Amino acid sequence: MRESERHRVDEMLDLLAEEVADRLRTKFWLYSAREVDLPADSTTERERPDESLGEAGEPRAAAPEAGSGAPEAGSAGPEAGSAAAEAGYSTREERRAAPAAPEADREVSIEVGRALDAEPEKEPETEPEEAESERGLEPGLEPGPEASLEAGPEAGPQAEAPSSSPVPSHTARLLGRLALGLLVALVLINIPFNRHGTTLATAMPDNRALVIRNGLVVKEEDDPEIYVFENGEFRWISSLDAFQARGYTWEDVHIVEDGFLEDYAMGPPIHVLVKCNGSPHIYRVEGEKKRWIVDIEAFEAAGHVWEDVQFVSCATIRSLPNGETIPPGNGPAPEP
Amino acid sequence: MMGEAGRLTRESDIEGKERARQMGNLSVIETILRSRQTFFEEIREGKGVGEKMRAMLVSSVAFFALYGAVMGSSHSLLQALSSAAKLPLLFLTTLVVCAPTLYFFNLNFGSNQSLSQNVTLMLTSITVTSVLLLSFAPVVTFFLLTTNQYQFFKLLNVGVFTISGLIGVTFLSRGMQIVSYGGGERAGTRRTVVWLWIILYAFVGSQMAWTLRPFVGAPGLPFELFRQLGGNFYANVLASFGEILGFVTVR
Repeated sequence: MRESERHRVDEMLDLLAEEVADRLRTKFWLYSAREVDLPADSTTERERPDESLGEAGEPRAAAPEAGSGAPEAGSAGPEAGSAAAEAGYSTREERRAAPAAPEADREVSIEVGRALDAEPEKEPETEPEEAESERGLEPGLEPGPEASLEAGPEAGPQAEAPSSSPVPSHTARLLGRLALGLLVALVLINIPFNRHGTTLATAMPDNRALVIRNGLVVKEEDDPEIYVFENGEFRWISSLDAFQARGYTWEDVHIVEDGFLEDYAMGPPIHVLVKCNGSPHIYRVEGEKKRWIVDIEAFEAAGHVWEDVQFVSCATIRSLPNGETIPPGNGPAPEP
Repeated sequence: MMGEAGRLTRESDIEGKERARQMGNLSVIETILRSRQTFFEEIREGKGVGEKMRAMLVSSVAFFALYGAVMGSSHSLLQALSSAAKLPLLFLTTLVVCAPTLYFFNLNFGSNQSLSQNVTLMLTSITVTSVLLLSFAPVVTFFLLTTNQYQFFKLLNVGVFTISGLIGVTFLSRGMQIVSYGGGERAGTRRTVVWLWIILYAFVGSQMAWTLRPFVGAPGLPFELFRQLGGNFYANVLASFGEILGFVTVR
């Protein structure tokens, strides 16, 4: 026997064993649920002759167990099985098509015929899927192993060929349902549930999940100051104007635990410089106050460049209270 | 009346065919998982290779897209959609990049399989990987909803991909054994070639993933379709481990 054929036979035997185990489980469940003996024409009864046979027509070890579940119901089964086994037919169809039995075996053959005729014409693959599920069988798989059995080991690769045909099967259905369920879950966890656009998927507080990169805006829990990470250091954003001038919004701010910034280097603060037309003075906005920059030397010493200067109305500048001058001690500051 | 009945029958017939076609994609997966021997023998004999490729392509793309969406959901809806598109692209591009190498090396060592048979085998591996990823998706979703550690979530996904990928390439090795070796005189060499190719495939795949990142999306950053190149996959995984263990901070 070739290696591949041996594999195929092993696979068929595994499938067969699984099916037998399933059917036995179903039977025991049925018996224990009803607590009565089943009639001879019940579903379990008509399966009995088939189950009493091995692949090559030998009685299976599982058959006596099946019989013990309903002793009187199994009377025809083993006989029928043994008769068919003697004839060398391992499946129902082969037994149906078998030539007339010798006279001595006629009675047994009649028993076989009765047992088989009790089956409805519909085979399990044409039964509703729900019924198959109730019996604990895998609907799509049933034709596979039976077809393999009926064709026998001689049938070769064709015996399993139907398994690759587009037959809706248990695993395929399960996969489909899993995918569908996952899709529904994905939609649900991505639906915003507040006006900030928070979704279930992003609802967990993320202060421990920060990736420290340029542009990260943070604020310590009990500190009102806001910092932005730039080139390896955190820089204090000195005013709301500076915050807005950089295009940040409150959604960009990540709240971190107190002391988080202690581990990082601090860079020069980010200020907004304001000036109005008609006045030569430049002011630096810090918090809610304006600080007059006394002269060009002070301007450059503080690290400012002309590109930082924003033009606003003089009234806006005048509305801001005066803070300490830059450098300190040159007050009072002139109004624009 | 008869016309109406005929129309209904035709509609039912079309619906049935459509359903069979849809289920066919998934049934191929069942065949791979349950009757792999037969499946690989059919590939060896060139039976229905085109259908198999189509079915595996459809199902694996769908499963990868779903898993990608789960990964990206930790950041934003845009990231979810982006990852859903990028994850199938990652696997298929890796396949396209690596397929010629496997084919010509096999050819050089005495294989008589066609390129489409080789690609089908690779698709089998990818399909198995995608099914396993799909089966991991509920677990990943659970952690997505219950943890807030970005690095942990990233490493969880690396672990899931590693396990799924390993099982996938094991299928490929098994398939090659059945389809290509055939007990020939240079079967041992071809087996070695396949495993060397698998290592190459892993390297190409990981670099491709690094190129197409982000898939998860860093929580502190706005959505990015692609991140600027720099660094590499392995260094980042090590750094993530370091951050989880408290040694370094990933910047």
